[in-house]
Amino acid sequence: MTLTRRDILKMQAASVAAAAVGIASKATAQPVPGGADALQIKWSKAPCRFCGTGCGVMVGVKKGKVVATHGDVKAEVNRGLNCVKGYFLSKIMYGNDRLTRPLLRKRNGVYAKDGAFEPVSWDEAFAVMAEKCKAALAKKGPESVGMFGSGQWTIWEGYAASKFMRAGLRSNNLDPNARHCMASAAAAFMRTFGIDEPMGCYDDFEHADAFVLWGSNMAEMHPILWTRLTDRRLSHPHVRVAVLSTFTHRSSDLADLPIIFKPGTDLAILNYIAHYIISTGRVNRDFVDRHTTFMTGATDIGYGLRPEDPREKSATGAAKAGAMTPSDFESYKKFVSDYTVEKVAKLSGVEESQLKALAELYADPKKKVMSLWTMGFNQHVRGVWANHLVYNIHLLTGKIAEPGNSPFSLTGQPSACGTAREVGTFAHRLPADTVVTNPAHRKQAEEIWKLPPGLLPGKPGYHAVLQDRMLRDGKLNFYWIQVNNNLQAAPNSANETYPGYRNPENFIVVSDAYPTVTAMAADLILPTAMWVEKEGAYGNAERRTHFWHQLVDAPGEARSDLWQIMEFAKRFKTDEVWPKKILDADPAYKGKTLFDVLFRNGTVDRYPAAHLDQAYENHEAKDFGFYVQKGLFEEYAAFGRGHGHDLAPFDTYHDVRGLRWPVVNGRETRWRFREGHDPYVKKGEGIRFYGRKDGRAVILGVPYEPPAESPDKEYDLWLVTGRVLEHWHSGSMTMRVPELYRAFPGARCFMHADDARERGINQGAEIRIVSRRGSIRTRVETRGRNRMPYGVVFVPWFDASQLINKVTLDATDPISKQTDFKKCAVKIERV
Amino acid sequence: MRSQNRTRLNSLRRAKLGLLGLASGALLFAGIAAAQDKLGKSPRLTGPSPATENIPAPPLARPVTDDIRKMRNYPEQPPVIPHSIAGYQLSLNTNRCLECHRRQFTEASGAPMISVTHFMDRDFQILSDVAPRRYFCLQCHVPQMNTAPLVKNNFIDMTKIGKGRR
Amino acid sequence: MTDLPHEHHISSAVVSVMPQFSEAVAGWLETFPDTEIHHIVPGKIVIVMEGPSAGVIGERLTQIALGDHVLSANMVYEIIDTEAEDEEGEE
Repeated sequence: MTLTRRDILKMQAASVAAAAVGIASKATAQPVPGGADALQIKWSKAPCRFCGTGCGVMVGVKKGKVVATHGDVKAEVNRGLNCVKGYFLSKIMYGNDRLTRPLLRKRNGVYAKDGAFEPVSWDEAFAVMAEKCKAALAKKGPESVGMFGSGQWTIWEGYAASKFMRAGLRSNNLDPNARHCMASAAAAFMRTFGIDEPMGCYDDFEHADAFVLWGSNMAEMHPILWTRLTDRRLSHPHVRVAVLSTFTHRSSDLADLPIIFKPGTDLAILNYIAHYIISTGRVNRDFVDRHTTFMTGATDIGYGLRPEDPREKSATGAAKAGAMTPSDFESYKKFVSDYTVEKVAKLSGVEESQLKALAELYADPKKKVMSLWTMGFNQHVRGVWANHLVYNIHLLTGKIAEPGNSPFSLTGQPSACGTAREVGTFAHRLPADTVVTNPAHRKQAEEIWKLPPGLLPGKPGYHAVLQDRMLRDGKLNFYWIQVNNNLQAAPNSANETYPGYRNPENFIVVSDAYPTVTAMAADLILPTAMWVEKEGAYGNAERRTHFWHQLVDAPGEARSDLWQIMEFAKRFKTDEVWPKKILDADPAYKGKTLFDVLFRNGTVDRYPAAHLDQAYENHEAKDFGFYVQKGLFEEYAAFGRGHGHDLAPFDTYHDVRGLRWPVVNGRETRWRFREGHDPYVKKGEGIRFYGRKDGRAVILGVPYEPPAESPDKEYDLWLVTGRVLEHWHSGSMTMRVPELYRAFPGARCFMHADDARERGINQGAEIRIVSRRGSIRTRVETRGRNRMPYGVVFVPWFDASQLINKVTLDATDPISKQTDFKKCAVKIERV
Repeated sequence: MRSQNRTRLNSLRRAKLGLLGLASGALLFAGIAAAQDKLGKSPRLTGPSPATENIPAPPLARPVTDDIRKMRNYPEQPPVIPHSIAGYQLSLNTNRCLECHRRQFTEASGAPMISVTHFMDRDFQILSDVAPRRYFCLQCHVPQMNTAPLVKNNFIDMTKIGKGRR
Repeated sequence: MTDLPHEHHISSAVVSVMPQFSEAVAGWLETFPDTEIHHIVPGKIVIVMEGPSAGVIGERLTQIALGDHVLSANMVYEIIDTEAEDEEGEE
């Protein structure tokens, strides 16, 4: 008796139907001729590999291959749903051009900067890499080496990278691509609340009466959160949705109040709302008096451009961009009174009636409001201010830290919060909101890491944009890029990024699963295991830490980023990289490898491989001889436990669908700062913003200031860049899934029909988009999902053949150092 | 826009069904011969060479409009849309997709009925109509443009694994 | 390939019935051609139907929906198999 293909298809069909109506599938209990083997699919949980929503998926594995994925019904975030990208996760690892061997540029059998890629062994790859790194260290010291990571690193990968760079090589030139993504949000959290990440959680979606999107197209970029918002809006007729954007997009389709404003004027609109709340007497005085404090920010703070740029030279406040000075309610009231509805309507191009309707949503004490934002706010030369200004509104009305009242910063990467922020892989950060500039914080890290005192450097390293500038200028000479595609993502790339990679003084290493634009511009490419090819952990935008097991093997010689960092650490002796003074003071550290002192320190190697769940493989544990992930996680968790960042024990996370920190006594926290929800708020306190010593959140007075570059007579259009639903970030995974590729095969320039007509351009015609920095060739789309206002064009950046970041400007928020990818001036020519 | 003449549409659909095997055979299983040399074959994946170069942009691809249902890669995969959705309105008040795919309309339209999984709300209660959280169809179901994939994908159908013939 | 490609539809459906008649309806469903019962719980029956086209299966489902004690019959999932039926099974 055998089981035919048809039988299997029929059983599949039946199990889908059974699952749909909640009948437990009894596939194995049925008389299956040929044995259950033919059907045996092992299902395990994992978080989705893409955005910061953090959906749970079930991954089906058969004979070492992922054969199916679907939304996990037990995952609180998505309850069984996925977006189209999530449904195609099964295919992201199987592009035919997966990298399976290290590739080194060679000529005549040896490394050459201008050579062609040739396969090499891991041993040769690491040998050349170590030689280049040591040469840079010997010549120019720790400031000449750097690493660029990602919010896609698993928690332990980011943590291992931080240890390796800061403690191992003694360089803080470590930054994540999350710098491009939510540095502004993180900076504003620290400045307003003294502790990073949202106080609320996704449960707010089911409690709010009004939703306001500020520069976020959730319908495409956070589709599953959009399903929760849609559910709320369509199921409860009183609920209202306002969508603010510089162009009309799919999220506008659900909007009761769709608002299109002129780029950059959101700052003025936000100050107007504060003014409206105050002038109509709707300030929650009790809340404001007890829980907030007023401050004024420095102004005219520049644009984060190179110092010789005239815009930097003329900026009077650039040197102290982050300064805040104490103020009071009356001063603040006077300050925002300047933002009258007439003035703001004129500046922003938004009708007065719409502005009033929007302000009323916030002012009405009976309406619970959830504000949501992503890149429109964060990728903004005043991104930190924009974040502050929305907190101002929620604080003035007391609409914060309770179900449904929630200012909520969304994230774009699966572990932007979990790794980039919580682990602290930014150039200035250490784990659990500690920073390199604080001697007490460095001391704590040295103690937890069991390192000699005084080892950790206290000067912040180069941030993302600065790394590119320093590579170009030849000051950063050894550079390792993991889990990201920065040559496609970085601004002004033809002038500021590419030349640094190809600078003959520099050695560039790229770890990736696929040959990306960045990998192709490197000197050494390391083939990398991805997603469920390794054991991992991510932290999503609602503080949810979520684990998964290694479910399949990586192809060929591909290895995880974690394995690469730890293995590379074996190539360095402390004597080669640490100051003699420190070693002489503590000779026990002499003669050890960085692997020994960082990863065999008695903490990281504390759990034997026997602790592994025997049902799953774990390559790192096998290779290093101990449960690496558990050791790293438990060491890392020591930073946050008891300090408002408590994580549950390691093993717990393999059983649950994630938990939202702080996790105290086994209980997760949904709403922080609120008594009864947050264990850190004592009985009788009601609310306490305990991240700050005074327990008060900051209401900051800052003005509208113009973008770094605006359209003029020659460069007469605004350029906005961004994403589309079907592709995730630079497209290196989704472009290799045929169905996703064919759904949206190439970038294009979304444009108003009148703008096209005036230039004599037809729908679909080929054009050149030109800025002062560079140009690309693309096609015109005057229809389609994004409906542009006159004078604004939109180009997605997923298409490697149309690198729109050659056109963008490398202006950043001067406080967060996050690039503004949403505002620069271009002209469009027919080809 | 899709034809509003549903009877005609039905007869068209029937006429085209015979092509099904040819289409899916060619696209799904034969794959692409390319990608032998793994590096730098498609500028859309790896960029121009060098990356700073400008290269011509190919014309915008047109949507597949053959109305032929495509076999799914696995049961949980949302089916792709085998027709153009140009000009479709999906908003607070209108849902063009449901005008054909909602249960009550499928007999006249000949369109596949949306699956009952879509009637389930966040608490797994079955509703009488599409659950609000499933309202925006295009979050999961996408049309396909008439263009060949950039690189072969080696995903293997679960029914073919362990049968010794991949 | 010289012949027109083979086409075989496999569809699963959920038949909602009055709970006390679950077994009776199931017995009646067994009389349909190319129709298998995969699960029965009070009130719900999961069936799998096969046929050469969506139309044939659709008509059968309509017939089932009109049956006694049947509240509704809804298609859940359809697979269109274009490969010739393979009889050799596992190798």
